[in-house]
Amino acid sequence: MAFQLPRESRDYFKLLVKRSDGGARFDTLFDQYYFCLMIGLSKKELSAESDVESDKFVDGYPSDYQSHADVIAGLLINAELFRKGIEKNDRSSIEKEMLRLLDQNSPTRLSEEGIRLLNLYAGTGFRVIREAITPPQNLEEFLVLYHRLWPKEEANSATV
Amino acid sequence: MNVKLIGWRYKNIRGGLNDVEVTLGNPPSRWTLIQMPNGMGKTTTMHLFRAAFSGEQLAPEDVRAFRPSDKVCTGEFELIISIAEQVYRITLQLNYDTGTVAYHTARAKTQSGGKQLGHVLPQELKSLLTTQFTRLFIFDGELARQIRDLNRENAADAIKTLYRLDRLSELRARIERLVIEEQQRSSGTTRTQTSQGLKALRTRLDTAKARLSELKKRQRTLEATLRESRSRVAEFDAAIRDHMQQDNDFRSRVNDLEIRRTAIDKELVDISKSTLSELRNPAAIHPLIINELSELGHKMQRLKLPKTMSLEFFHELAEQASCICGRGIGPQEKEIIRTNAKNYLSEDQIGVVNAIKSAVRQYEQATTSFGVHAQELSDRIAQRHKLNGDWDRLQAERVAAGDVELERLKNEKSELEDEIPEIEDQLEALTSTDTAVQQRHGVNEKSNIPLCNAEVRERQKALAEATGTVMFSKKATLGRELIENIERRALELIKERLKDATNAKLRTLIPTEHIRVARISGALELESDLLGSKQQVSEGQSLAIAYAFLTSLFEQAPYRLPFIVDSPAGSLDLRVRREVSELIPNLFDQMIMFVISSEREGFAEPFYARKDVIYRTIWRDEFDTTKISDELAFFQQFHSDDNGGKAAKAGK
Repeated sequence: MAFQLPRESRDYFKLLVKRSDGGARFDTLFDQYYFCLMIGLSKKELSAESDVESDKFVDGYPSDYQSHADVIAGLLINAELFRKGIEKNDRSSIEKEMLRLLDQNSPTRLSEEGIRLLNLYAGTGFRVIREAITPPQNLEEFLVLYHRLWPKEEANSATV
Repeated sequence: MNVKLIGWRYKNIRGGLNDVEVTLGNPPSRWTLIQMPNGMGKTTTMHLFRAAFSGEQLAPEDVRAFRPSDKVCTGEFELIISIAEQVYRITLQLNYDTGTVAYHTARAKTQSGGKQLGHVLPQELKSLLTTQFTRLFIFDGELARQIRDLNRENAADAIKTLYRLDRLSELRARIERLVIEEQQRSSGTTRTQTSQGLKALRTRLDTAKARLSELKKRQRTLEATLRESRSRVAEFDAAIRDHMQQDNDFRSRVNDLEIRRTAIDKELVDISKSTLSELRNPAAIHPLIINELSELGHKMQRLKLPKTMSLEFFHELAEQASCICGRGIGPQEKEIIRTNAKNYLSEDQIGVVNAIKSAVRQYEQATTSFGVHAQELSDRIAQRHKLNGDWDRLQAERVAAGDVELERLKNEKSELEDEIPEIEDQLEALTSTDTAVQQRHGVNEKSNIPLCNAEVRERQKALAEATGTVMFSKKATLGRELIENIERRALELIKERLKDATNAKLRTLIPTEHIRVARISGALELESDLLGSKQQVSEGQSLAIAYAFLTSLFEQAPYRLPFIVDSPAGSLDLRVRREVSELIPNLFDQMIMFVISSEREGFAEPFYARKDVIYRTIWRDEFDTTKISDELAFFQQFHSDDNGGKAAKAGK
């Protein structure tokens, strides 16, 4: 199992990846995946399997993300505990989830199942982004609009 | 492998090179400065060097271009080089009547010792010295322009050739040939298919391959057109700016707008890049994420997760005869312990969970500045919109005042800009792997490269099945993919290293504008602090970029080749000449530099303090006799009015 992009996200983000006017752009396809993923993990909803591409686009984290592998794994565990309604004191279930999602031998820290779920969270994130933002023309405008997808910072308890 | 240029000889060659021999010694001096007035044959010599190194077959008109006069029918050029300390003499015999060239090679210390027909160099070197490749070390200003020309593949091709990645392509092609041979051999013995059926399958595969090749060719053409169009839009922008600045009334307003637009664009690039870089840390996106991480950390802390007892502990316990409490552990207990042990993390997993716990707890006190950056970006986007509006109004004012030329430039730029999305659209239809995009364009295997690729694979499989070579084909495919991966990753790594080395040199050569190589795709894509993507560079900057790239390319290559350069400082300003003159000589084991007297200043001067330098002046006197001097003082004081070399004189 490796990372799979949300279906149709290549087309949606194409101008940010292929930008050629000298402005800032996404450096890798993983950038677009990641921005979707963060929204999806925050939303804590999985997309359908059919909402992600069938082929992988990359095997592991690009170098810019490798140092954040633990944190992404933590956010996945958190999202799954919430999605499955596991009580916060249910030590045994929490540990089982960790067993299911983690793989000490993987550079991503995640098991195949963990990565599969991550892809589905990214699928949800893409749906949320696409509903709120028209296909972005440049990175600067996308970043401004992406920031607006998150709750106002003084009201942290709100959800996406 | 070390290659040195020892000397060369001309006979009946145009310019002042009728019967001249130039020797550099064996081993030769590390640096040779050859001063020749214009018209003496520098360009001719460079052409002959390239031909002699590559053994290329010259076109009849190229051969006849070397003819000094109608009175002579033949000419000769001999190149003397050492390869791994063995001397080779390569002779070009030029027949001006027939327009043909014959190569002969003579090697010292060989049994035959004599000349043999042909261009006979060691095979390893022969495959390196293609016509295209020789232009990289026998170098002139034309190549400098091509290296930064985005329509060419020179930079990437040079890397592949010099670092021998082309060998991997050859290996892939060889595997492909082996599959075909195996299928042909096998089809001779198979009984399940008629020969007609096999022939049909093979034809279908060949058709698909030919279509794929056509589609890839079309992709290259479209990409080149797109780059060209973008470059021309940038040229129109520059022309519009220049035109607007010609009007005294508008000049200050144009300049003011330009400065402000450039500053805003730069700020937008800087803030966007730094924000993107920060946001790659999830905790930098929003306090909500920090809160969730913090809660997870607390939860793990409170529940004492991960448990300290590991899966391994219970496996070891199951092997014991009795528990620590003294009760015996029989087969039934062993089975229960082993089964329940699966609910515990292994020691490795405990390590991972602890790492996650430690990582998430780091963020308890973290803060995020995304909101601040988003506001900064929003403000600047608004400013850019306003400045773009001001710029449009300024142009409209001029057009309304009857500026026909500006209107023309604007219209032509607009037409060109309209073409770009169409080309992008065609490229997308041709290359997209996204099913939704493919459907939108209504493409199929005849018009889309990934689909055509799939078709080729499908037909390869069908042929393999029919010829009973499925396993062989599968292994071959695996081998090809493996080699492709190695080739791609090696090329990327080398490109990255070259980019860093080139940029380090450019910081010295062009310190004011900080021009950098942003990426080496086909050729060199440039960017600068001032303009982001750098479409336009001056001639001098272009030469400096070429030097920085070429010296980086050669300094870590497995071959040591002589670097021969015509007019090394021609279009460089005095300061850059000095920088280049200090930088490049140390990077080559041998350099031969053809200069004219006006290039000495700045470029030749730093050599005067060096040892192991030949200062050679070649000119024609008033009686049309070719003269050669090796005196430094003569070299320093030689002047030429560049009148075909004939009026050259020593300025003593």
